[in-house]
Amino acid sequence: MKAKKGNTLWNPYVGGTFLGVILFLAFLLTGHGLGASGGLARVLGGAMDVVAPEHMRESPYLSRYVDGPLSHWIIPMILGLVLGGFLAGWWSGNLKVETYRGPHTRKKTRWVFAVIGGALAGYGARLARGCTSGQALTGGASLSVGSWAFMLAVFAGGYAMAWFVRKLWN
Amino acid sequence: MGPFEWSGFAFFLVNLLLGVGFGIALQRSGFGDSRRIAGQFYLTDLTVLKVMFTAIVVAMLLLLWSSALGFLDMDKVFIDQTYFSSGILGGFLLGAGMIVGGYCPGTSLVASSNFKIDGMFFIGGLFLGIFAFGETVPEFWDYFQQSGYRGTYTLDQWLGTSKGMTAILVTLLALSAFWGVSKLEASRDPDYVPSKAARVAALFAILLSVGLLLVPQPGLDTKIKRLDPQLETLLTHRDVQIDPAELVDLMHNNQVKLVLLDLRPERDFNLFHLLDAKNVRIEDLRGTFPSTIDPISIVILMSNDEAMATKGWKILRAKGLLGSYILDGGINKWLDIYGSVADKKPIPLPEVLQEDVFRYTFSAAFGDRVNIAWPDHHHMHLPEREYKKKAKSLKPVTLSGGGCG
Repeated sequence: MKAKKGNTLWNPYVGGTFLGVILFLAFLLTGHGLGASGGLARVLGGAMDVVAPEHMRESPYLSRYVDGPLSHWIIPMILGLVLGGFLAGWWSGNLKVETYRGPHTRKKTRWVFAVIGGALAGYGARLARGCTSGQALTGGASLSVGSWAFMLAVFAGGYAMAWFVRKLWN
Repeated sequence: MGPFEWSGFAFFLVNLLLGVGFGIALQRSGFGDSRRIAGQFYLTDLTVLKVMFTAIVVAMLLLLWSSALGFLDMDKVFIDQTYFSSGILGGFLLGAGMIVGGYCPGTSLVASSNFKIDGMFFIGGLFLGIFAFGETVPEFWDYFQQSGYRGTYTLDQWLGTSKGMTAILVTLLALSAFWGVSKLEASRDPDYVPSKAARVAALFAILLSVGLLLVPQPGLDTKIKRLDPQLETLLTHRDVQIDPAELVDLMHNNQVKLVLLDLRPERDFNLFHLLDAKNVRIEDLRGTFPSTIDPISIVILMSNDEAMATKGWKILRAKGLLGSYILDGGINKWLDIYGSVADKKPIPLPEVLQEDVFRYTFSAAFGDRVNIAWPDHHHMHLPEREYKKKAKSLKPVTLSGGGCG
């Protein structure tokens, strides 16, 4: 990272401590931890209910998103997540339209892989009933065995695939 | 004492502000940049590991300390349920998606909020993946519902130790990972200077985790007291007393994991007990024995009448075994009903006035070698009984509660 003034990132241990305090506050104030992917599922559920309501109600999985998908706590949380990310990006002068990619990767290639990776991650997060936020962080801190197993699997999946996509990043 | 109930605008605002803090933490840690996240998997940038494990340790220590000091009720805090198989498979896919796509769901939102095009494409992919999951999950619905379900299962239960000891182990695990990372970074960078502040922080974390051993988590009696109003309601509505006929049906239902716990004195137990029943004392229930019970089991507690079984039931409920029930009327009522078809006849004793005393005896200590220790409709003419079904299978009712909901 360029150490431009104002754009210096936090020390990771400081960032981690700040994140840990936020996670704890989420438990203390609301009883649930943090979350992200579930919010996107609810946004999708809400949209699909407008487009194909009958299909939604027939599906055992999607039907639970039918009634008031927007009243769930995770909706304000992901709105806040976007707002917080925006504010922090603004303060640090990071608001710039660009595509992060490896030094030898073309923009379009990166976009295609971003969609593929997103689809894998979206499918995996729903199957695992949570993502890095709702499982790894939230369940990790509350000592859930399943969440620790999930976390190890995330790292295993990443390292297993890393060799195949090494040209994308290096 | 937390957690608190929120409604209306406050509910919206609290969750929004937590999200804002979350977003700031991710952006300021550099997770709005896919290259930094990918670097974790080529060991060129270990920020992901550092931030995640620091956050977990900090939140864990704060959680356990506030529970020990009594301003957070851990029983009301959401703990991700354990589904081993689907969790591991899903985690593996998510990890693969992270290295291919450069983000995870939360970080892609942060990247997009900073106008990063790759983050927006990643979100598009997420919607595709979530949509595909919704469309395909009916094909493997049973797998998804069961998939190694262990309920609320925490590391201290798994290790068979206290929360404090578990916290020490997790803290030491994280610190050794950080130590390993610092060695790796020092070997690459000749100008690397070990940080004094980091050592002080590490020592502080160790002290905080060791301190948890001195200030134990709220004990069983505190928990029972806290739960008592709720448990008393269940008891007076007789929602948890299982009719003998329902237990007979449960004994023949191979879909449920049935655990029978007999709390009577050993002498009564030896005279007659139900097939596969285990003779336990109240002290066993207060001890470590309940942690050996699979949390999805249906546990039926029994005494001669109900008093001792009710006492044991409260303990198991406080220990989180939500599938615990009481045998309605105990073994006395069982013999009142099924005694007439027994191959070895129970002999009624003169009326006793005390509660929870065996009202029958047998000509010898038969144990479970009496046909009505396992009544069977096919081979016995059992009295017909109507009953209200009360035992609920603990297979997951909802897919997920909090977390990523």
